[in-house]
Amino acid sequence: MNVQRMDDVTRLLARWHSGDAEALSELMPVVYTELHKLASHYLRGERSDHTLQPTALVNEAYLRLAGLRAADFHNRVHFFGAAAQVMRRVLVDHARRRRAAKRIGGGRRVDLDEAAEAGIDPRLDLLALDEALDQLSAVAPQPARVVELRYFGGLTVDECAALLDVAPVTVKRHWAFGRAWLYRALGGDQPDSGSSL
Amino acid sequence: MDAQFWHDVQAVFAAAADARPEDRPALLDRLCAGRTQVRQQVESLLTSSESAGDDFLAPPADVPRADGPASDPVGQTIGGFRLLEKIGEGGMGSVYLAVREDGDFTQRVAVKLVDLPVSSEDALRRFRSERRILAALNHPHIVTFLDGGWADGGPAYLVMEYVDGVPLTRYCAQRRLGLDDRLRMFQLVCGAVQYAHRHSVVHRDLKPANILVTSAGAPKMLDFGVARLLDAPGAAADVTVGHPLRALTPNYASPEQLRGMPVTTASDLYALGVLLHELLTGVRPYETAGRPLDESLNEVLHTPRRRPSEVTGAQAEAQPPYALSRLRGDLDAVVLKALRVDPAERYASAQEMAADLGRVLAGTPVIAREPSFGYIASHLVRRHRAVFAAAAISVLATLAALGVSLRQTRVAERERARAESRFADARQLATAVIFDIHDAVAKLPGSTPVRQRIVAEALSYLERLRQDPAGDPAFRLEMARAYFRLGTVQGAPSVANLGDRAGARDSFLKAVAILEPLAAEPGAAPDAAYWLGDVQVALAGLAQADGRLDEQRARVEAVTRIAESLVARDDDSRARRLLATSYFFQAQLLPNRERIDAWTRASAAFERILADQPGDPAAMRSVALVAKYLGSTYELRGEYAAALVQHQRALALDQERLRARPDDRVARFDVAIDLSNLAFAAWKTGALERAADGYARSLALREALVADDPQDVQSQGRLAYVLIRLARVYGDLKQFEDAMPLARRAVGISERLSGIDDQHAVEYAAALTDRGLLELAASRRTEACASFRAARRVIEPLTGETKGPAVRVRLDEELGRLEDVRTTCAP
Repeated sequence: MNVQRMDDVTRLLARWHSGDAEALSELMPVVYTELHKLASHYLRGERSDHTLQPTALVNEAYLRLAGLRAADFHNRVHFFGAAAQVMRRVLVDHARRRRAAKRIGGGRRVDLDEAAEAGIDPRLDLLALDEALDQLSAVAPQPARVVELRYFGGLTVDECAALLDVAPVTVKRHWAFGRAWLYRALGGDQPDSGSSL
Repeated sequence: MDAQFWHDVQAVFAAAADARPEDRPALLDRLCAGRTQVRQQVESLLTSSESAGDDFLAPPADVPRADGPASDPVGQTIGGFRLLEKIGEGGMGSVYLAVREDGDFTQRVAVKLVDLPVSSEDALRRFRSERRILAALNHPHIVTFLDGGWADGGPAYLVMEYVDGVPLTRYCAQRRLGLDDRLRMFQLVCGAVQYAHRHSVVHRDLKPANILVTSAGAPKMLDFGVARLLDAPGAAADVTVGHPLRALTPNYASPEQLRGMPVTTASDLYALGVLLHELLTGVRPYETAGRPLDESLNEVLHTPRRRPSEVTGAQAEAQPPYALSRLRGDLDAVVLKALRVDPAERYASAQEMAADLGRVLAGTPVIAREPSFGYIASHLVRRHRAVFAAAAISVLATLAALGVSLRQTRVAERERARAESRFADARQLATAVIFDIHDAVAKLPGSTPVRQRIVAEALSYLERLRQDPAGDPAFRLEMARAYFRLGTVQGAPSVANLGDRAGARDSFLKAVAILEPLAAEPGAAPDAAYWLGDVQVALAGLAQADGRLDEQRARVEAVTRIAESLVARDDDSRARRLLATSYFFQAQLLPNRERIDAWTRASAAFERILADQPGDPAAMRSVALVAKYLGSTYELRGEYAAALVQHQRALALDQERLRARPDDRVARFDVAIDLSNLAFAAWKTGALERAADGYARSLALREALVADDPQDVQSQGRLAYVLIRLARVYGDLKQFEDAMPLARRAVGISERLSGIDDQHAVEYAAALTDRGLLELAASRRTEACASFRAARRVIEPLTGETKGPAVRVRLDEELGRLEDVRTTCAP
């Protein structure tokens, strides 16, 4: 990241810290780049001594970008909320490239399951999940958002509640619904009526 | 399915999920009365929910950051070195004692394992290039950097000379070193820092732990440039000190570092100040460790520093063996100067700081207690804030235009560090501060009053210094140079100046008064005679501009004498150059018919310098310049063939210079002038087509020069000149349709410039006359006569007062041309 971009980040962070929510969306491209770099670094297995979880990545990105160990809760939640979306894109992009690499026979480690490398439930097809999340979002945006926040952003129920400005119990409900819906979409039993949607 | 459908599904699902399984059918009956699709969805989802299992999408727990190598690296081999034991731990990694694995077990090294924030091709490339820079540091008081790289799949590592020593402060405390010993030790540290800065390496994290003293009493500095090495691109390291990987030591961090601003050599100088404070008193100037950043920052930025002689509270073991009252005065001043919040007010270099400590040891006055130029400059800036803001903006705009955004690239950063160290050298007397501001302001329109005030300020400062003449020859030389510079700004001919020739002469004479005795003292300042020569050259130029021929001759003779004695003494290129310069001025003093020999002698002298230093741009320019003069002298004698030879020689040299530096404006002008000189010679020999071609090429160059810097008035005047020349050649070729637009443009440009001074006003009149002559040749008498009338209106008001000789000559020429056409337009 060049200095110009760093300056931008500093400025955006300052704006964001002073309560300007717009700034965060402007920050996202930077966050994306940062996360992407971190993720590919992890996914190449260069830091095998580390726990490989998206949360750690987001956490690290946050530390790198915000440079604050103990930022106030509000900012942190917002950052993580936004980063969850980015994290999802990063991981899905990575999975897509891996798949492409496998198809053309390229790639150094084609025999390894990319999901396992990323520390994600190896049974889960990340691309399918991504697609399913999009479908869920079309019919039930809030459960989709909660899944994204928790799964890709590592937010707790309380953090999700704070971010979405709803009661924790509502978050739990959205979570349960989203989970069920996605499990079904990913190969659980599909009701006939689903096809008529 | 509409939104309402899914909203209902969600609501029913939530209710059913909360209910006990056995209650669900009844609940669904009630909630989904008649809506089978809702019910189907909910039932299906409930099934999925149960079969999904707890670990489906189990949210990743908040994973604590796991930094550092997972296992103990002791016993492992990294980069060919076997790690024996851990000997230290820092913010950036752990340090191990290690031995070379292959055979030579005697070479003990220190290996630092670093957890680099990002490992990518880019970071690796950077790491390698930085490693080269570190490897190039070779100084007795800097720990030798041996190697560095990435272990396979492991952390980055740096291999360094192993130093068995203790931190500087502890060493001094343990041995109960006296004040003078501490100062001498610190001078060694300054020397190492100066060395690194000259190599464009900034330490960034100077602290006692990074300066180990061996049992032999030699300080060894660790981790030079390592802090920067670890700023991988992409890391946000520069924005904050709070970043875990940039755990710099806030106690020693400069205010600008704490504020997350770019780190320069000045930051190291600040850290040296903190170190010196601690070394001399046993305590640091303030304590920031463990405090929030903003609180530390507030303390560092806003709390006035105590004088080191007045601090208390050193722990018993750190208590120096002398009374702190011994620090009162000079050492207080030295430490406080190093600890200034504004980097510009600190020492300009580690060398300067060491020199001041040397003065303390020698008992001579320190510069820390002199009124600082930085202070005066900031004072000036405060008084003329708007102007300086504008100046700063223009400087920034210029840099941006040049694409030299200094903060953008590492290379540029290195360049900047180099420039800074050069600047620091030039600022030994700090006069440069004032003159740099002057130069920045000089480009602004309407800045004359401010420039005059800056000059006045510089003058009064110099006068104050003069009343307190120090015996130090280097200092006297600096002062003379400052007067020289001042005079140049005030009114040296051929340089942008304030037009105060009398003031300039005064300053030059003061420089002479300092330099003459200095040059006469054998061995005092070998440079003094050279500077004396330069000042005499400037005085000769002034005398010429003022028409004081006798003085001009005397000054030129003085230059020749000085140069001859220097050639006899040094016989180096600088002496020969001065001698050649004196020939150059001698030639100008001679009547036309005798000039050829003098120019030829000057030419030979410069040719010899060029032969000694082939490709030297200054020598090339001098030879070309003399060739231009020689060519013009031949032209005056009507020897156009000989003139052509000289102009061609000049063109070849100038073009070579331009090829080497295509952006060099002076070289571009020189080539443009050569082309028009050649065109002139061609014109005079009747080769009109060649003349037109030469002028057209010269015109293209001049157009580009004006476009590149529209503010440059001089280049516009030169453009107008060649426009007229080309128009006149077209006129001779009877191509009036080509000629007229050029002449009209020339008139337009010179009209805009006519307000500058009498010289420009005369040139405006000349352009009008030329346009009129072309109109006349094109048989447009009415228009021509209007042009001549306009020219007269411009020139007549100028004839009254006495003018400088150069203006006088042009004025008479133009009046003569207008007189020639008077009858043409008579009614």
